[in-house]
Amino acid sequence: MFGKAYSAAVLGIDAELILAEADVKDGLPCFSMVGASACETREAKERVRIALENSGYRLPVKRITVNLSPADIRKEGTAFDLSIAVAVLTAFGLISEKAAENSIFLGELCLDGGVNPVPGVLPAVCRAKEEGFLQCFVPVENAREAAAVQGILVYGVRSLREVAAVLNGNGDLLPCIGSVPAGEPEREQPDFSEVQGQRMAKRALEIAAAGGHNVLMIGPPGTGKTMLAKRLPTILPSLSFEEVLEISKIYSVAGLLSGGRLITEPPFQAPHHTVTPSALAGGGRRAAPGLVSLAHRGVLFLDEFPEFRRETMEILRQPLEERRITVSRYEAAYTYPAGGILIAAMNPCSCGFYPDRTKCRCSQAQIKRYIGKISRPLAERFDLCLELLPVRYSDLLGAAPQEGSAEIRKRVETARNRQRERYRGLAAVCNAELSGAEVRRYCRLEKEAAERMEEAYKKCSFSARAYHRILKTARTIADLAGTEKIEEAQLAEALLYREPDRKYWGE
Amino acid sequence: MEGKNRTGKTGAERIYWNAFAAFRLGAGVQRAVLDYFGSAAEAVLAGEKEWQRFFGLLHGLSQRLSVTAAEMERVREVRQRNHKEELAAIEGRGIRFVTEEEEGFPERLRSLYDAPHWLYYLGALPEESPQLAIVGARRCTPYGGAAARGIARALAAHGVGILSGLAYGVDTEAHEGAIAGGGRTYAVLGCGVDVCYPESSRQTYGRILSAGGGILSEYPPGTPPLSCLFPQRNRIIAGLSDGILVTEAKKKSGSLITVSFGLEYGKTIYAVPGRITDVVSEGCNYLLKEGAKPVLSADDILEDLEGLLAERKGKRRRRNGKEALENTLTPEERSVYDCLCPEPKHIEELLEETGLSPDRLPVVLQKLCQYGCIKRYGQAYYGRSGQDGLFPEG
Repeated sequence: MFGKAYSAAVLGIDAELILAEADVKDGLPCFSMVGASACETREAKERVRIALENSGYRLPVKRITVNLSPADIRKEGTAFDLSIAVAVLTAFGLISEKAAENSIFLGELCLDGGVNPVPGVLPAVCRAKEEGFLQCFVPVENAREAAAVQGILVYGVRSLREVAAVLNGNGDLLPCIGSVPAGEPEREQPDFSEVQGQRMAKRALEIAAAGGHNVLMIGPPGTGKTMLAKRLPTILPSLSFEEVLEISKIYSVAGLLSGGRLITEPPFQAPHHTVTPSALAGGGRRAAPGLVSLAHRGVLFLDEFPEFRRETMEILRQPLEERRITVSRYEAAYTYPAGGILIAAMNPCSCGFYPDRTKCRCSQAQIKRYIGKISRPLAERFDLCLELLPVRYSDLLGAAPQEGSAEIRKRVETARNRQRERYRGLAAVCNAELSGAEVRRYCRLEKEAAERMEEAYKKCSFSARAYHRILKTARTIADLAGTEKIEEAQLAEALLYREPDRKYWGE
Repeated sequence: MEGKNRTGKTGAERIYWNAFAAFRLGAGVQRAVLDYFGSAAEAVLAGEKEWQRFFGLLHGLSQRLSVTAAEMERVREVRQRNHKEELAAIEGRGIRFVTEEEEGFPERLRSLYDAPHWLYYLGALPEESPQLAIVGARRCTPYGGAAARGIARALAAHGVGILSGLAYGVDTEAHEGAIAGGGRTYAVLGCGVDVCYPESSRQTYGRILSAGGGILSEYPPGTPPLSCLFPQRNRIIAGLSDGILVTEAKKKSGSLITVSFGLEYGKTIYAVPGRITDVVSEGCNYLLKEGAKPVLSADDILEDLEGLLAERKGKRRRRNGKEALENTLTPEERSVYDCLCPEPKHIEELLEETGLSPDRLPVVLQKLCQYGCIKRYGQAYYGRSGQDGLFPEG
């Protein structure tokens, strides 16, 4: 007697189908499992056997062999339990083979026959749909996330009994209705209207949001760096459905989709400066996604930037440049997207008052040492660098009405739409993601602007990287202004946000 | 005693002066040594017993003139060197050595009671033309830096030599200003002349020499920059000058030590006034209150030095760049320029004062930078460049 059922293994943020085959023969009573499996996966045989018995099935005294194929993919986790149980039931003829054929099964079994939630349901269901499966059985807690995938029936199950009932056509469980995230989700978040003054900083963040540029804020303590950073997600363009799926997949793999709700808003991650390199970049035994990936299409905020460990900081170089990160471990090498906006904040010196020399008591060497914690190559990857002015008393009174996040977001979205239109068919979504060749094609300077750029390039000894990044920023500013041409004014503004390179990292 | 040839000619005396310098004794102990032994040569050639007796006497006589064990050890070690080769090695590296007994030793120093007996130098020594010392804070504001640079440039163009200490901040600005004005400038160091301290002044160090100026020190080549040596070097800066200008200094600072030496030597003290609220201008304002001459432009110093200036280089050029510049600015640029002063302002303040939008202001600022009439400090701070007639060049 032979039975089979499908499930899926998560590799990176994608999934691969796994077939559980069960064979029942005469012989000494025994339950054995083959197919490269991790420890917790191999233990499935105990869970499955007891869960079957506690669900009311009497297993005949036979030799049961289960194979997870393809055998060369290493399986980890407990999501295969349900498919193994179904395969065994099919082998015994308790479920018709036909019924299980077009389904995939995900879920961890309890000993009493119940089904526990598992991570990575979203990518698995996406994959199943691509492969032409008609229905999927997932733990009820994961049903909402699975239902986001359209074109496949989703059953949220509580127990093995329910699965068998649906497959045998005598259950009253209804499939979950997919809930597409609303177009304009309500955002109960901080708002830019609460920030008094700091017009230049707001403008810089608007540019950052419009083009996906990284920002470095330098300013004395208490000038609102954190306040500004927290409000950046509120002006990011709303996520498209594909983006929602993309981000939710990452969260699903990391097991962070709480209540199965999809991530419909640009994520905001703000790790403490003691974060380890592998927590930031991704890693661990299973090469799980790190915070840079969890901030994909959102914001990664690193406060007190120089206090981060050097190796932690330098790890950011690849994602800042390529917008993705490859995590290699003994058993796997996965590439995760990392296309969020990095926004870092720091004090200008250890006392925080520089360049106000009447208050700052740091020597030039101390300032150099403090700034030197951030290497120049890393500093160069920030397109927008801004120094903040200490807040004055008049700002604190805050009488003047300030522009709200919604208005700024409207401008940002218009600029993003221009970019989307222009880069149709390219890998890049926004200006910051353009490659060198694409910069040459799309970021042409007008004649006068080109002259200014040449002067600045020679005077400031920019690197080629800085040069490209300035052009991209200028492109974004032009998009905000609604012009195709990049003129002197746009370039001047792009250069304005580039300068601290020279003051802090130059000479 | 082996000191038979102690009355040698100047050539031989130089060798012993160099060895004496290598003792690196404090000024007071130096004087005591010379009083006791009679001359540098005798001191260097005296035997161990003689020195023991001297140290014993010194210890018994005065508590102020103490000698540490390390210093005694250094004296013993230096006396055993080959003095002739030592000096030859130094001179072989292009470092000059001049003692008070020789021609060419600065006349201004001879008359001072605590002047150095010798100098090491690279390049040239200050000539007889008027010399002005410009000193000030390391951590100066752009205002103090611009004042030092502007005044040094104007004075150098009139043939006044500029003395300073090569330190970060005002010192470097003064040297650079003098070089820009086409004049000579001299740096007196608190370490060996072959040691560039601070390292960040390396470029200035080179430019001083290539512009015909000099690097001076009373300490033997190779002496590291020790903080205890710096107050002493200030007396040389004061001694070599005809006047001392302080552009920005705190009330307790090395600059005011230089000033107090200058007062003892009877030099004129000049100070650039600052805002009474600025900590870095406290020293200057205090000096002004005590009767220092306020300096509003280079002219205020030139009129005092006029008698000393051997020849005036042509007629005074009054810069009219300011008026010309103002006529070429557009109303928008003008409004931004008018908001600025030499003290840098944050761009946020400019937005507020000019009423321009955040996407318009950058291009206006960039234009003004291009004309050279404003200067950028860091990312978000702008100030007038100081090249628009703020410090008239007399």
